[in-house]
Amino acid sequence: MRRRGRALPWIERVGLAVAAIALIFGAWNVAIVAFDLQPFVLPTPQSSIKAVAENWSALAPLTWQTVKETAVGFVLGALIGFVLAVVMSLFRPVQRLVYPALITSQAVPIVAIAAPLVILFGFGMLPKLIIVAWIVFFPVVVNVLDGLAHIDPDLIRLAKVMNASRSREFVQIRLPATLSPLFSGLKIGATYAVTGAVIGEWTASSQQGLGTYLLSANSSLDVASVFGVTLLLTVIGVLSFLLVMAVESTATPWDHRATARRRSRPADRLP
Amino acid sequence: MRQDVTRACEEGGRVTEPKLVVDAVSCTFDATPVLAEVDLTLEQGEFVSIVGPSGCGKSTLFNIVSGLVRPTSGRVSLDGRDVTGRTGQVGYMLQKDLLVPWRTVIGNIVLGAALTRGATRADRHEAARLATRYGLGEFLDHYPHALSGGMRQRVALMRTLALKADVLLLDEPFGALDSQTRLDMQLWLLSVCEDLNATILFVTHDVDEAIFLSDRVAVMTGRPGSIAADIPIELPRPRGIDTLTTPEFTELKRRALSLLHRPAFERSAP
Amino acid sequence: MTRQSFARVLGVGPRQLRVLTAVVGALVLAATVAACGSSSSDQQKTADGLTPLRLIYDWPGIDFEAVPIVVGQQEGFYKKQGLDVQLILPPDNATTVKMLAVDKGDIGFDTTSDVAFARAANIPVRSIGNYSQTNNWGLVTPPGKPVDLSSLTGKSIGVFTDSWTKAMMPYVLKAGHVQDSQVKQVIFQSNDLTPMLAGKIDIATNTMNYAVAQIQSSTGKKPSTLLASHFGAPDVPIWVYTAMDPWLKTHGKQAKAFLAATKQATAWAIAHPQKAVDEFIKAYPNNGSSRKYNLYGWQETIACLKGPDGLLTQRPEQWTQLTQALTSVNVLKKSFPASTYYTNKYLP
Repeated sequence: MRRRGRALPWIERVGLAVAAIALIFGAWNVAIVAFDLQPFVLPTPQSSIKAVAENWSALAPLTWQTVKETAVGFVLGALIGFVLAVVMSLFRPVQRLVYPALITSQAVPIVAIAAPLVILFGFGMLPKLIIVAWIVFFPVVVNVLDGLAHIDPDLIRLAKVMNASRSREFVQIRLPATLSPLFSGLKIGATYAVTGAVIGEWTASSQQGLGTYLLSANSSLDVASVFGVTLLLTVIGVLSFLLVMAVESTATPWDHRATARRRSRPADRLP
Repeated sequence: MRQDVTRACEEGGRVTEPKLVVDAVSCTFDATPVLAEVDLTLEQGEFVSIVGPSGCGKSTLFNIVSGLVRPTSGRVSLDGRDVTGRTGQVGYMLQKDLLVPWRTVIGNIVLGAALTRGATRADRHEAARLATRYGLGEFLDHYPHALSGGMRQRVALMRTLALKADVLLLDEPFGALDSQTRLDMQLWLLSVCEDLNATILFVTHDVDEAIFLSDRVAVMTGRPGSIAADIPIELPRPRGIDTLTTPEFTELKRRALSLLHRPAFERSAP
Repeated sequence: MTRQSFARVLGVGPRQLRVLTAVVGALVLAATVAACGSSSSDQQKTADGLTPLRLIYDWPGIDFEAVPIVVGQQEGFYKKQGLDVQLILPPDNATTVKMLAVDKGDIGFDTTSDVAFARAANIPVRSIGNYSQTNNWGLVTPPGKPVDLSSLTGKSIGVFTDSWTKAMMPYVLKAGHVQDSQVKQVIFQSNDLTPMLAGKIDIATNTMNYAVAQIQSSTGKKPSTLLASHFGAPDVPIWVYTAMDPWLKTHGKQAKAFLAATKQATAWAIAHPQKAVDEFIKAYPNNGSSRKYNLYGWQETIACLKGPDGLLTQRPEQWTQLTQALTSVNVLKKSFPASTYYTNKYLP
């Protein structure tokens, strides 16, 4: 009989994650042996991790560079997406004009836009920020727009009956309704953002990052480093996701099952 | 049929105005008449229930009284002032508690102020006092999702009370609760009314509830909606559970049900 | 951990756990069976009785360095040796060795640095003949604007992601007395010469046959160049023909046939450059460049094809110099004696 999933204590969750990783690494090793794969085709997870660990002093600043590109681009994309969604929800004609263009923009393969971006904006951070922002802003726009559209109309009616001013109604009722969908969009964007930074670095880059390191390792047949850095990038993606989740639970305490109450403000206590 | 229930009380020569007057209000949406010549008057401190079948236009009447909708003809007056089509004059509460999920209990209670002039510390103190008075003192900082259905409706009612509006419109506020909780809430509402001497217009399907709570029960018929009968409820206050089983209650109930199901246009004796 | 508690943690019931186990088991079984029944890639003869030979190029785009091969195909040199040579383009500029190693190709057209790096990674690839004989890699600047090594700081330099560039750049930095971080190395995928002409970067790196082809065909003038061999890099061949040791053991005859035909084709293409370029353009009409570009390129390439021992013949010194140089600038971790990297055994 199926039991409803209960919230696991965090130590069990970490244990499960470790077990899952061990399982994947195990399967990886088995695949190498089973398909008789050469180390320059598919290195073992151990050698991949070792390649990264041994070169860490060289990789650390590169990692920081890629993380910087990812983080700044992410914030940029989130802001643009949010503002765009709010503007579109307030002005219907803008939405009808802009929304189809937004959808089409996502159909353009990122690898294709990377080259023209570099030609236009040079080899510095800017093209990479644009690419990351491009990836992040779309889920944010769609989710926030949906959130604004699906506010309970009775709540709006209640605000009207209470004679709410237009601006206060927007700030108190409409905007907070966007937070949950915003974080849904951010979680999606966070996982893919680092890929955007790497693609930006591949196209043309004057700063060294993990993407450029990947190319360099590939050209000297250092396949273990290639896989190791790929694993590192995966970790960055996962950590980004978890970070957004953490921010979400502090920013939307009313959604978190574990938080029934907010820390009380002194003014709320009875005199 | 017109119900002429304007009562002028002479006290030392002064004439007290009725609190709320709905004067010949009718409403037509897309050539369909929804309300036809509704007249209703509430005195200060009166609790009037409206009972009627679904679709008879009760919600439309409330929307008009609250100012959300303009009637096709007729007016609404509050203390003699014309408030037709103006919002913010009355308090309005729905079956859905409509508590704002990202505001705490306190935050929800002061919502009226927050949406208009901004909630002050005094507002929040007042809200805390109100909540504590009515049994929710331990939940001031809780978010709505942590409260039970009954508690949420109580918070919604307190939010409505905090508006300090003279007239409250309560649209089936206990309809979504189970019968046990509903009875608790009715008793609780009775005590609140005693405290505040509020003027309340109350919509319900439940004849028992209407009789239990009100000073008058208006029977509404639908399509188009109009007040078919007005039954004064002369049960003594304060009322309690025992009131529900008195012979007077049963008699009133019999009358109400007969009117509801075979609306005869008879005028009840004053 | 018991089976029940494992199931509980996963959030599945006992029946679902059984299904899950069965599915995982089936997948593992399928994988094992697939591994056992591995395919062998025995080459079958083509329709006209020729043996197919897959030649993997060094770059994802076809260009004029492939002229000798194309001539070999079009003028029937390979056919006379019983070969049908198929020129295959790799997905990027660092995969040629890997494709040979997994039997996706028979012969490779690759750089000597790729051979050195491959051996360091224990891949048994071997050079069976030189294509070029000198190091014509260097720095390129617009016509009339010579390269100034003393003022490299802060300059933007176009680079590629192949192993030869990786091997040569340390010499550039050493010669200019600058650190890696003091110059802006801008990575390009296919062409850094046009951006250099357009002023987007200060200096381009490239081999001179491409540099002249591009710049002379687009501006009418030859570019300013500075060969790396003039500031410390070893003057050793860049491009070679390669094959895997296991393949050579079983296909020695084909290797010999290939090299014999290639030598003849190369000689023909050197003697008849215009006709050779026309053959190339006929075979690859969409090669993306003008006839002028291809002609200039091929003519510049001819200049570095003839070695001290004639076409294709290798010398051990080219390999020792290469590995020493690469080790000294810390790009090569493991090196071997020259005999590991090459053989002249299959040369005609």
